[in-house]
Amino acid sequence: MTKTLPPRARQSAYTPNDDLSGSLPSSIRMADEFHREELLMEKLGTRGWGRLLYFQRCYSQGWGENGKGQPLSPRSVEALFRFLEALPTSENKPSVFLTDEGNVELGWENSADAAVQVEFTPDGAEYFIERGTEGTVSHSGLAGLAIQLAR
Amino acid sequence: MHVAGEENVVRAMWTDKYDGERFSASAFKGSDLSVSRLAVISLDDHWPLFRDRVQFPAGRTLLAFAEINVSKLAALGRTHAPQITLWVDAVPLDWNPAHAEVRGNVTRGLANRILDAVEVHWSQLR
Amino acid sequence: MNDFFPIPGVTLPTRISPCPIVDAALEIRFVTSQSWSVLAGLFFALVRERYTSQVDLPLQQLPEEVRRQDSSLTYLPLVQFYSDSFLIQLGPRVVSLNALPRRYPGWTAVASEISWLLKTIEHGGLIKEAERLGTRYIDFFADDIFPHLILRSQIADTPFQPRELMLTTVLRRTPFTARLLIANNAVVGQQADAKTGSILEVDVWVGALDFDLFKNGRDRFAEAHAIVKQTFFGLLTPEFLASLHPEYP
Repeated sequence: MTKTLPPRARQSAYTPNDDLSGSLPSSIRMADEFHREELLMEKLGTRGWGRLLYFQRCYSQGWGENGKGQPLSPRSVEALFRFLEALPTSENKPSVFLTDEGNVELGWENSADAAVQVEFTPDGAEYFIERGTEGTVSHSGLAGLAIQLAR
Repeated sequence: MHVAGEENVVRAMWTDKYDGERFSASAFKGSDLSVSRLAVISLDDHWPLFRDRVQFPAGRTLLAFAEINVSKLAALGRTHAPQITLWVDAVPLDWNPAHAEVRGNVTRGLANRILDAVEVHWSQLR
Repeated sequence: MNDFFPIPGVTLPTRISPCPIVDAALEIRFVTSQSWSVLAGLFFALVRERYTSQVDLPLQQLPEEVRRQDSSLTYLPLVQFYSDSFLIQLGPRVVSLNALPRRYPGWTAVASEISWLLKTIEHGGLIKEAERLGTRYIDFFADDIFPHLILRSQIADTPFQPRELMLTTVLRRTPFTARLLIANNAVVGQQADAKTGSILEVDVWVGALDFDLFKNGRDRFAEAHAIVKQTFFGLLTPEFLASLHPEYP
């Protein structure tokens, strides 16, 4: 008797032999993924980590008032990671937000108790320091901006 | 149609704009921001209206309404450096006849000043 | 991250025979402002002149909310579109151009088709932003491939040559990352068509900040393909490569 299988996505053209195909136990993750999660935990705390994960997982197209919210920008997320790599760790963890344009935004207070905000855009970042300046930087300026804003 | 200066409008604040500690200034940044007129629908009636309509995706919760007077909003724009002309136009929607939009491009600096000036009404359900 | 690409450079053939490629895919992960139901319809309207038939994949039957919650499903396709020479797979966050199984038409034809597809997608305005661009090739050999590679595994000083071995590693050549997977006990094909042997898979990709899909996407695919090719041929022993009847430009 002929058995008909449903159509398969060509995610892979092969299947390893059963003995070779066991997946990683759930307690083991690849180093890159682990490093990124560790970075989020260290710089943003568990709340920031959870919020970013939630935005990544759930905020696809059509969210928000009148369905105008844009999906989370992958370039914005990558820019966030570049910024966090250079941002010194602080007890005062930044808040994490999602803008209607689909960008990640951080907000915290600096040592002078002035509000500091950074919105990561597909082209770089927009920053704001209360009673100070606001401006933009390209992706190559993110590390310098992190050090500048941490003062 | 311009909304009169004596009217008050509210901006809905959701999970994505408040993390339990701080509000995001981006809630007031940009152009054509959606607000809602209290002269058309009372604050009490705004809660069920917004909860039923726009709590998407799952977990996105209506946490508060931020209220501001239209004249006060325009004055904040006028006194900002550089000056930004702001006004509010009524843009009724099927689901929300009180819907209106803030005209003028609100910069992050001005958005922070607006955020400082609003009166926050918290949800009883949060 | 530092470069790590210890595979020696070799002169690259333009053709080998028999062609071991069982799958070749050029993949774009993206975000879009369109809902899935709208996206699939708009996409088919754009490509239907060349891709005349459509096959819905079983995953499409899962409710959207369930697919959204499971991150392992995020980048899986839900529908396939077939032309005479290629297959396009589309999902809410992914589109890929695949050669038809075991009918690899050569890079020139693939490059021409991806160029057309990129222009078509750009014209349709369906992608808000691209997240990842990748090129994946899978080669199949009936024999154990490990003795034919310059890559060796050993325990102490003794060669380690088990009948079942799967080896995965990650190589880096900025801005590209390459994942290499070699296994000597895999099954390709289905049912009566299934064959057991070795596979050598190379998946090369760049992240969101390292390409602009509609400005240099085609060039990035070509660069990724060059890394795939260099990885494959660089790993073969000269004797094994000679047995594949290489043709050089």
